[in-house]
Amino acid sequence: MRNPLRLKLEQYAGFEEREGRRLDELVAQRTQVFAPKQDILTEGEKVKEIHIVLSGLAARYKLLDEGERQIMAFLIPGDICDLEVFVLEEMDHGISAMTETVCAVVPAETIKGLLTEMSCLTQALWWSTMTDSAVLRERIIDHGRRDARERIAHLFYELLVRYRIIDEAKDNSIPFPLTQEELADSTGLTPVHVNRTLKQLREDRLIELKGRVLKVLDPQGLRRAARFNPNYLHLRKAEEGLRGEADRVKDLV
Amino acid sequence: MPHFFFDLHNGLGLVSNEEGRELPDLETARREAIKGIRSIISAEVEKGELDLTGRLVVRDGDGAETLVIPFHESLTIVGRWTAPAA
Repeated sequence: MRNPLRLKLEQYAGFEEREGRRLDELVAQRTQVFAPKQDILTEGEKVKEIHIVLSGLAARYKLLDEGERQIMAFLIPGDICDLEVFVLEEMDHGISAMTETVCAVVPAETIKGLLTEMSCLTQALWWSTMTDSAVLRERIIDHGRRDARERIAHLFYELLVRYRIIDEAKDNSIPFPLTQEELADSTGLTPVHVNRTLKQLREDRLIELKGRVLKVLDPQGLRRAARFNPNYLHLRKAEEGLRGEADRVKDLV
Repeated sequence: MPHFFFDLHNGLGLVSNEEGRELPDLETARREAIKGIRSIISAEVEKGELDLTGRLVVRDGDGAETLVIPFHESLTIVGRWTAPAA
């Protein structure tokens, strides 16, 4: 399997062959499998190791007093669950596997060592963290300014771009193990509203949802429905039309 | 946990629910149905429309109708302002 962390970070940084190999070794050392609905990290947990998603899908979430859940972000292969480890003492939210999810588990010390050895990695991880906050800003816009259709279209288009980056969006089809209830928890809508909105997106021939796969039938149409501006993903290479890694995603941004 | 489906019938036609949800009991299903109706109505109100002629039908795991909630029952409707006679 190709290393999704490397596929993601090389959208920003240029790694030499030796550095690329170090990143491959990093995710190959120890892995852990999480069952659907199992916590990868629990709120309040002290983090000593870094978890990098290699396959599956995870979500950052908070539970409210009445048992309601808000999902703040989805983590797809290549995403890092807990870079907080370097700065913060404990998790202020949980991370749960939405389907069977495999994570590379890397001791914080190993990453620290690698950061001094590879300065481009420091920048790339910083880019990754900044981009994660930019994705969160989009969720704020969702709740403040986007209607149900725009929210769901925006999330789907963003996921399409992110899965393309890690080369897992053949024919614009991406893994989609989420239930409508989970989609509701992540968009702040009710499942009834999600169901109706998905029906509209299907009827408009923008998407198809079948057997835990989301196929985007009309990327440009979905992009318009979402009023999507890809600038917040900071895909500099793709925007400049650089050849190579950026080819995977450049028709979408 | 029992399975429930929430079908929406309103001015735009029927939106049937094929996936459904697992919920502890019928009372929770009723609460979720009312939340669902209110969310649909709210979104329409934001676009300048209020149509209370719809209903939400809750079906059980076998597909049998167990609850029918008309939209207007999810709200307390107070009335509207009229100018006092001069």
